[in-house]
Amino acid sequence: MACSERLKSLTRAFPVVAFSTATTLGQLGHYGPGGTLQCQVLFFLQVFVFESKTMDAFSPLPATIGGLLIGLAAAVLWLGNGRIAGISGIFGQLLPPARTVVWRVMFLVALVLGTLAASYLIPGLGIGGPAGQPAQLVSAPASSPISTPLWIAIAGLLTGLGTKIGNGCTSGHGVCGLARLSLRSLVAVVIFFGVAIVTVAVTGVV
Amino acid sequence: MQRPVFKPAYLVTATVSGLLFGAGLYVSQMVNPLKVLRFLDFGAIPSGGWDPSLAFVIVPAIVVMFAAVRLGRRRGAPAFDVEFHEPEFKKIDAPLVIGAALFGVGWGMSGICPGPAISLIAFLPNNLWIFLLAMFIGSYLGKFIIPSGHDKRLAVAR
Repeated sequence: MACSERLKSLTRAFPVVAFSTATTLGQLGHYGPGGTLQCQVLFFLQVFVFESKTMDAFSPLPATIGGLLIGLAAAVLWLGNGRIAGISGIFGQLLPPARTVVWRVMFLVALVLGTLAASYLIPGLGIGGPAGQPAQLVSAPASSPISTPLWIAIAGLLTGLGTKIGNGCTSGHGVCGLARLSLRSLVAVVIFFGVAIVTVAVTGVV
Repeated sequence: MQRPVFKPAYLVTATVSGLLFGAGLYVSQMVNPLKVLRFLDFGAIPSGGWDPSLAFVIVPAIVVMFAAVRLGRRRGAPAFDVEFHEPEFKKIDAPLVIGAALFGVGWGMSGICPGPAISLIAFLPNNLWIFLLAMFIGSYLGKFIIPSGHDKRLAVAR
């Protein structure tokens, strides 16, 4: 089936464009009589099932379901306790006063257990769990003069410092702040995404 | 007014939220630093190596939270506390810009933001403890760098 080959290469080349292109072409009957539905089914299976199984490939379905879960988590904490599910804030306030530390510790422990439980309930999505690939942090780029542990330490330090000074991270500013239509959060999100993209381009860490 | 931070319902809510959050990070595979970096690697767009998954994670999360914020405004108060801890500070100031930029560098170097950093404890990858310790120290140091009044005004947010 020629169309599946074409779709496959399209998907590799540019998943989002490939998805809309294939859908449009499919609707126009571009793949010949009788091929349309088959193509679409094949494409759907490929993008949403097979590709999702491989660790580093584009995985829109698990991503969307995971995103909905994260949104639900933030919604539960907001509507229940009136708190923003910003992990850097929750983590950064782990030191006393003890009165407010209890829920933060429980949230963070549950965060770890939630990840662990999901990796057993839905194994093999990627890294972690009984059927997944081992979790790994990045290594320092080959061109870098510093060792991997130092690279990780600097990254961790900047993450802690930056999220403290900037008062939020991907969850606090990214999910909650944007949902609250906060201009402060929008500015933060644009800056940290922009700087991170530039950092990846400059360091070549991928 | 004394806040009901020790009430069972309050703590159960925090726990349920944490569980859902952790599950979401695993299901979306945002616990995988490489997957996050493949999103940030815009240079790979022409060659087809770019992974747009992160966008498919954050957008639904924002949509759900947006609905929750709307619902919350209509209800007036959360279920287990007297008020929403809405950040009152609206100014776009130097700490926000500098902090976001520093975080951007750390995130781009590692592919790890604070949520995955903690949920990765579930899988204990090598060097994770270095990242967590450094993140804690960084967060603690940050306290002394930002102006104290600023921190107090923002405290409501967290």
